[in-house]
Amino acid sequence: MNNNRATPVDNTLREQLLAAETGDGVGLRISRAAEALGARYAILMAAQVAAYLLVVVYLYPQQNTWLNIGATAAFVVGLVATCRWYARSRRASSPGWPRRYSIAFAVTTGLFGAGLALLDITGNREWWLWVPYATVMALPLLAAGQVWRSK
Amino acid sequence: MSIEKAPVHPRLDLDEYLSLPVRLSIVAALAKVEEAEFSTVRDTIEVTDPVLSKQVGVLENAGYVAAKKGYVGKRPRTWLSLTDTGREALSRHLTALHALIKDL
Repeated sequence: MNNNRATPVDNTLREQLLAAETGDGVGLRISRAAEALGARYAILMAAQVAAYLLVVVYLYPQQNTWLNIGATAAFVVGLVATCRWYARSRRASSPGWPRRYSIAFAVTTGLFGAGLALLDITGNREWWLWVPYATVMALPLLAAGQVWRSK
Repeated sequence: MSIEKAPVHPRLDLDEYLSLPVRLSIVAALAKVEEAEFSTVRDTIEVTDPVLSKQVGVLENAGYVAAKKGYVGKRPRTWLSLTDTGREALSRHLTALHALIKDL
């Protein structure tokens, strides 16, 4: 709504501009801190999902019930702890971060599922397949966390 | 006969809700983030709880800011974000502000 019929005085305008610039700088600082925290969170999540895939491929815990339960429990506890740490530490989100992270997490999870299916179908446990695959699987999350650095 | 519309003076584009510097700072800060926690905005804008609370209330009623309450564990948290209306108002206000200052 615009009811300002009188032209504001010079000082008021400059004060407003200063306030806008201050807010802009503050917003940018908050956003950068949020991006840095988000990047650490994405790296931790990517590392855990990649590590779990390699555990599944090389230790093959499915053959041993207790090893399977232990490995899965450790993975879930790690993910939950990381999510809780992030939720407690987060003070802001940078523009587009929730959407960017959600897409990256969905792609990584999809690749994880495809990896399990591939393992089941081929039974192949060669390092030249799984180490690069785990890296590629982690890439979407790593990329989501690193986008801010290029801005 | 058509009457030509006179160009609008930039002062008419100034937004009454954003004419207060503290409100302008809040909105400008929120324009750079998706959302930010109340206490973070308070600390970085350097205002007190009641001041921020009051100004956020005004901006919320104007439809410029959205406040969402939630919990992290047992701790309550309020998340502030700029609405599309608020973003447009800020852009219009800043354009008018720059035009007025240029004319001085």
